[in-house]
Amino acid sequence: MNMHKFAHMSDCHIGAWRDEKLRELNLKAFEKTIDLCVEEKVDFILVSGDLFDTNIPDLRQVKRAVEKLRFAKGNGINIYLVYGSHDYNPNTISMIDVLESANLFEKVSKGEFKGDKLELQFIEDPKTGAKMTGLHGRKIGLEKDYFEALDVEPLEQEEGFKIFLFHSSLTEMNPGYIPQERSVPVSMLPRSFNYYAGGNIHKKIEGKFTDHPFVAYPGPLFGTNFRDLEDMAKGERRGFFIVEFDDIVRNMRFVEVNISEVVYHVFDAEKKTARQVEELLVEKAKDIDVEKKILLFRVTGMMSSGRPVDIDFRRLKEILLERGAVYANINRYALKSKERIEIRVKGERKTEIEERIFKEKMSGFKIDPSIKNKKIRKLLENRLVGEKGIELAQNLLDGLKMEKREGETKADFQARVLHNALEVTQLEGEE
Amino acid sequence: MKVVGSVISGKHGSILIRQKSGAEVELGDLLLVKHKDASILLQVYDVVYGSQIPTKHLEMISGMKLEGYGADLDFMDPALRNYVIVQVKAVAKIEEDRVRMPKTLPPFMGNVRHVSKEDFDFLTKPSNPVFFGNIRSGSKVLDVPVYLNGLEVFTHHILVPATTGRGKSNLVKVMAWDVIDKDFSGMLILDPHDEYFGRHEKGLKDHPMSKKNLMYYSPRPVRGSISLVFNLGLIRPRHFRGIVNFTEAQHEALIVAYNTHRENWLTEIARGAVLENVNPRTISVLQRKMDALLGVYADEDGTVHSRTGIFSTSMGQSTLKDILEGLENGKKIILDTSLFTDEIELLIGSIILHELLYRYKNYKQEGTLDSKPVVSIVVEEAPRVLSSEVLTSMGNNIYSDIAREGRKFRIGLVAITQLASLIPKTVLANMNTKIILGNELVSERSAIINSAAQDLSADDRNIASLDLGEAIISSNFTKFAIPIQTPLFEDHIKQFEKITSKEKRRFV
Repeated sequence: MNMHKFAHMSDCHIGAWRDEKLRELNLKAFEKTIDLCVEEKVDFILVSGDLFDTNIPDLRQVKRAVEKLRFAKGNGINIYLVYGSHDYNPNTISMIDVLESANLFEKVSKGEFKGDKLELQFIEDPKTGAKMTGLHGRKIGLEKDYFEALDVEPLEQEEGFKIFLFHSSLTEMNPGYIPQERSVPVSMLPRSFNYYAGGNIHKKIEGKFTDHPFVAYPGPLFGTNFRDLEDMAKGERRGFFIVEFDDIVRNMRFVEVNISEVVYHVFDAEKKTARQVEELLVEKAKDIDVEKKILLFRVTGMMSSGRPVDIDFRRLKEILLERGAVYANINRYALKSKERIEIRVKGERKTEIEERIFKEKMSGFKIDPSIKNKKIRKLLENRLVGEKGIELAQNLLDGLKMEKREGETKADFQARVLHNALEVTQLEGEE
Repeated sequence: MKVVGSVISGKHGSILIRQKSGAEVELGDLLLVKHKDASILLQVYDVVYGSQIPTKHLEMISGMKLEGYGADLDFMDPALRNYVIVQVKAVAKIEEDRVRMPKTLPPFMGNVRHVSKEDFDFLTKPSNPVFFGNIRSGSKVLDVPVYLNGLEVFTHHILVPATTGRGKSNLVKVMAWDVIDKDFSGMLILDPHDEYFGRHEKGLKDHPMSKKNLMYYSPRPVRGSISLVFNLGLIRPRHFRGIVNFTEAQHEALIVAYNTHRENWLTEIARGAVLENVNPRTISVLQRKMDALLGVYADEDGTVHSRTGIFSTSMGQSTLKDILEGLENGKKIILDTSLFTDEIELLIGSIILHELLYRYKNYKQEGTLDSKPVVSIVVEEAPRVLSSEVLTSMGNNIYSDIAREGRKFRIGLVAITQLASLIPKTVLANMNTKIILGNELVSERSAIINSAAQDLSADDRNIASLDLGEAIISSNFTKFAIPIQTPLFEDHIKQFEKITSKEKRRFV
């Protein structure tokens, strides 16, 4: 049999980062990855979800991503993917759908419910004959329902070299920061596939299980939050897998995509004055090699006197950037002062904090008893109660986060925001 | 109700009743006698023959009948001359809804009858109820469910002693089934026989709330269950205490390895790393010991592998956290340890319990413990960790720590054993609820009776005669030792149905 090879990447999150420099680095990681895939002459590319950071990302970023996707296509490399939890919205069209209709790639998560069973179809790569299917991710792990409903028998009986793509955290491979109830046990994956291409976990992890021989998460190409960058500084490798196969997987290796080195320092401010902390930070900023590096400082502890605002973090950042750092961030959430009223929200990632707040607020949500119309009550129950309500709230928040485009009038921007919100809530056109 | 006898003599704790002819009274029966405005609940612990005719005459009459000297021979007024004497003890005095220990004798010649459902109206459902079975009178089962307060009984430990085949697992299954949807209690079941989940038969998986509240870890997972894999980085030297035998030098080496390499200490031992002030031979021994115990070894490149798949360097990082959080959220967690050695099973339990106790101690210090669910740990063959021999030779372990001080931190054991006599008296005394099933062994019955919450000294024969599913609950939280019949699990769960959604679904 002929030997083939494919690349497996995930969590590209194109369009992530508010900061322009980091957004650019993230996109560059994707561009470099496609170049490496072309260099490697892979037969096809798999993206296990979250190609984009939102369902409708910034169009300038999309344009550059499309150029790279076309470059791969032009070199005879097909691309297969599933939606991730970020670039999928059950209520509205996403950029993934637009680009799929332009034949830039193909979604492999295709199927339908027959009764209470979800029947998936296979897609066959014309060049290699590899068969692919999978499940896309949804916010707060709602795709668990799909796994539970999955009719695994026909999938397991299908012959040939098979790949299952998914964008879910597997319980056994969970690095610890994903709540158990949002993860899916390995046993929920259909058996007898040759390769399980995972996404969603932001770490490179490979696993072998009795019925699931190759389960792999490549992790993101760069990262979408500071924790990802901190992990990089601690040695977490960023990149993608190249997998060689004939009728089974023969070889698997990880290709690193090093876009920028990350340096991370933790400073203990315990029992120090604000002035002492500032001196400590400045001394370090002047001492270390920062050239072309991303600098992450974290300051923790309870100061003996002074407040965090007494420390000139802006000056510190300037020193680092002047000395050649690509980017500098000083995390001071864990810096406490006896003179400061403490407000604590558990959770490190922005999405975690948002979700926690939604969960807290929506746990007490009840439909107004004055609404007697059964149809309306049912509609509200389906959309606003429980986890569906949290998902809707998050989608709505994502939709409202959009920025005004260059040249866009205020009225057009308002109309776009409103249109997006109505689409997310599916209120437009409802009785 | 029909009178079955009347009180004729005896003393407190041993009252004699003359049984009415035609009435049926059996061992363990609950009887009732009125005393002024109260009722006294009696329990039968023995039955003997009584007769007005001297024994010699009885022998002669039976001989004549047997040898054919008088086929029609019979006693004059036989019901008056021959009868049964029932020996009972007074177990409770019921005044309206108040139940007290009886301190007086029932009225002389007082009429005695069988109990009925209504006689137990005083048994109200407590808060945080846990179902154990129905009231049993002898072998008759009454439609009176018995609930105990789960917060009380779980924190103060439960002992389930019985010989094989008397329904220990059935009882624990019924109890666990009842609490699956109750959030006042988390439960960890170390299941060495893989019999609770119901892999091939009915089990806890069939509970309507199992999807939400039951977690099942197994090295051979069925669809939906979780592979049991622990990351090596989660293990600490303290987890081995009292479970695995190490010499003093080896134990010190473990501490040095941990202090030097922190969460990588076991992988470094597997690699045979050099440790300061530790004899290389000790490291070699530990390397072999860890390989034999955990199946962890390093190849020529220094990459650490696991032979069994239970311990991993890359996977299972959230297993401990998931289990602890599950217990704290009132989930019921089954660990299928049927493929493991005793040491591994107990070690896994030890890893979890050490961290659980640590967390709960912290909650107590913070003042938030009362808002946490009680956690109950089901341990089969409890003498493996609680017997005098083990505790003497290996020292205390986390299980004995919990038996001793767990109740202060809302953590309790459900210790199941065939050999309660191996457990030290001090530990048995801490098990404040005993659900006693049938036991033929005199020494075992004696150990159980001597440590029971109520005086069961007259119940030796009663315990010996308990049939499958029949039990006696003796608890500090009950006014008297309650005879129960635990239903057969498969029959019990028929009344519960899984709710399936008929909502039409869409795959986008």
